[in-house]
Amino acid sequence: MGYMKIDIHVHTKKTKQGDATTREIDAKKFHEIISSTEVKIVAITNHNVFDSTQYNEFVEAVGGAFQIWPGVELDVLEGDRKGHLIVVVSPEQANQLEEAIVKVSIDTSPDNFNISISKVISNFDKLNPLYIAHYQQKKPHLLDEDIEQIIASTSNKNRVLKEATNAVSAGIFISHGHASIYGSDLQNWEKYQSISKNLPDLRLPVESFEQFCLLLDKDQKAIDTLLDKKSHEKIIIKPFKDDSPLKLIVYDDINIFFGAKGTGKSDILTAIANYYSNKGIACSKFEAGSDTLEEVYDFNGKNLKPDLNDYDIDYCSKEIELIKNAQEVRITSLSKYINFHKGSQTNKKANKIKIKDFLEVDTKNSERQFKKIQTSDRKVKEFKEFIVQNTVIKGILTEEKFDTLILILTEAIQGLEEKSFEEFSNGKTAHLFNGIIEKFKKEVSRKTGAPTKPSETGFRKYAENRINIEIAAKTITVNINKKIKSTKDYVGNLDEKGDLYCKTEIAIQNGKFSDGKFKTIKKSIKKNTQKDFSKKIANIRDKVYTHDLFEEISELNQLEDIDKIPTILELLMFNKIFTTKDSEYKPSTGEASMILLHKELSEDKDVYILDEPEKSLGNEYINNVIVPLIKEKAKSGKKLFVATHDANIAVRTLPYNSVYRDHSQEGYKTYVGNPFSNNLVEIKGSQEKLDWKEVSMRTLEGGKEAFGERGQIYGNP
Amino acid sequence: MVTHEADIIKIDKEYFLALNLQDNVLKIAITQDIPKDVQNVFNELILSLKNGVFKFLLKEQEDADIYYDIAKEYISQLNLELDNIYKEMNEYNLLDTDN
Repeated sequence: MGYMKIDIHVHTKKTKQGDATTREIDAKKFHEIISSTEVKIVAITNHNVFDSTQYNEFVEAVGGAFQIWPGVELDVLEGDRKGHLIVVVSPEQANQLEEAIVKVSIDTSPDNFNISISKVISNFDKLNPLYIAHYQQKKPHLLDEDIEQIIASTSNKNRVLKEATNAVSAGIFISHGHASIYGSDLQNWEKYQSISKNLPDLRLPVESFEQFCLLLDKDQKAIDTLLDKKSHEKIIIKPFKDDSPLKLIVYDDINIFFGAKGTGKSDILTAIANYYSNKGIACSKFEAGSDTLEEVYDFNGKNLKPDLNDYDIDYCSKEIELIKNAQEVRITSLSKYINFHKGSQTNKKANKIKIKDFLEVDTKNSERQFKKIQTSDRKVKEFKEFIVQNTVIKGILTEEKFDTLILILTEAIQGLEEKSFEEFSNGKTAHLFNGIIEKFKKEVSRKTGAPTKPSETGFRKYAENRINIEIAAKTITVNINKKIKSTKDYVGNLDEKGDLYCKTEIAIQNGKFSDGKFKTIKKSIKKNTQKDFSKKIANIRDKVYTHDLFEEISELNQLEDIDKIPTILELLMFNKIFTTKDSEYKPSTGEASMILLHKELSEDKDVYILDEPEKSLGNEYINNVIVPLIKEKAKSGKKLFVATHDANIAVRTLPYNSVYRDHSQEGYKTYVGNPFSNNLVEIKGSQEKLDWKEVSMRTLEGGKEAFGERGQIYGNP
Repeated sequence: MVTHEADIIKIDKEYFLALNLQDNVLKIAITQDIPKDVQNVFNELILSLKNGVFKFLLKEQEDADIYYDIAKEYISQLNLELDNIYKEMNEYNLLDTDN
């Protein structure tokens, strides 16, 4: 059930000398143009003439695509005052309207025609028309007293449209910036499409002229019929401390909660949020001013949990552990060689056991080769499995080629497995061999008391130890010097200041990074510790083949909170800023409120719950951005629950549902109603009725202005 | 493979194994235990290995004494270990790239 627009004032003919020829239109064009807009009701109101032939032709051409109401724009003369008065009747009365006009305009031309108010009433009132008076800025206009005269003499005063209060009652959504609140007063059909955008919306889907009149009469049955067409549901919540249930009918539209502070509006919203959350519908209460923009955009980095793998950076946990735990390897002292040689000369039996004097063989090379073969074997097997499962490749290759590919991979796997066993065997043999040498040495030494021959100088182990430290330090250095690309998230629009972004920069402390604005991601780590850590790693890398190496490692281990740095992740720092046009920008409180609310409404949800969205916002922003956004959401069938003190939101959105909370000596009361019936009815007990407009004007900020009492809704200041 | 000369030298009654690298003579005391000095020699050897593998050949002595035997033993073990470490450095891309 979408919105529809109404244009109660169009010209289809040039009837007066002064009328532009561009007001002329044929039936086909008329149908085409109106159909391309959202206008669903159009009243033909030419100057002092109603042409039923044209009217019938138009009705036939349109074929029910939209409603055409017959009407006329009369030149009214009261004393020496001239003014225009539009008279619109039911399509059923089209012929009678024509007859009435012909009757009053005999012997005059549309240019000379004029009529008094009393004659209008005596000739047209029996047709039960709508009277729409040019008023205030709309020239030539009637005076208040003239309109009072129409109201006094017509049989149904509800049908005199003169000011916003009546328009609101009719459910007409007043658009700003238009010369006439009720119709386009069209001069040129070529421009109708763009002009139509400013025409008033009808909040209720009016199906006929008669129904429109019933709405003006605030006929409860007619209103209920239309409201019932809108999706709605009954919800029962317990928002208050006494656990008393609150039953509400809520619409897939705007549901407004208003009333003085402290009447529990916010509690109701919380309960509604829980109600929908429990049903599994994502929703949360948006509370203006509860969070700052910085909090929402996580300027403290509380939720910043980067994964280094995403940036192709290694965590280096093994490397860091290796360096922290590194110890010097003992080398073989030369005195062992001397002792052995001295001892061996005196023990001839022991000299015969040659095996003890064999040199130990290298085991590392076989181990490295074995690992490489194992990795290759695993990868080739995975690849073969991938190929076997892949239907795309099967489709591309001929069967013969596919089989060849599988054969080659199978052969490769076989070869790798053989090689793998060979290296495994070599490694084990070397280990066993070295073990035997060691055993013999020990035994000979034990039996003879002679010292054993050193099996190695210690160079290999010494070098391996340092090589491992060098590899670890280099790996850490490479990774901490990698750059992480900053990210930019769209935050909102600040009009002429441009789009606002939240820029997140992440840097790794590489020992040289110094930007005071950056904070550590892990809060328990101090910035100095991060910097000292990286500097020490650089020193260790530079001094790996010097005597100072272990002094550096010892200093690394003595750093404050060194245990809190097990990986590179703990070296991360971040900075968040807002930017506009690529420069840093600090939004004001008002701008921040604007953006947060806009952000909330930009998210695609089924239920929006807004607690005082107007907080810290200017009227202009509420009117120009927030109200249209709320309307837009309602238009697309979303549920909106809005607690507000602002009349622009509570009144100008013409909500399907208004919930008023009141507190008096009798306690708290809840009233529900809507602008269309203009009633607010107490939901329990008394069924007491309040006047929606009166309560709104009294309790809401800007209430009077919203009802157009100062005339500003006519579009011109 | 490059072969460097090694020799036994005597300085103030103390015997040393002198390892003659191109521009540098590394000395390891045979008659006293000074691990720090040996470690420094090892560091130099590792850095030299980065430029390419090498081995030492002990200069022959006519009247071989215990120090000669010790040095010969030591060098033969060291050569094996130098070769192993060179392979390992190569494996891990730790050699200087212009070699």
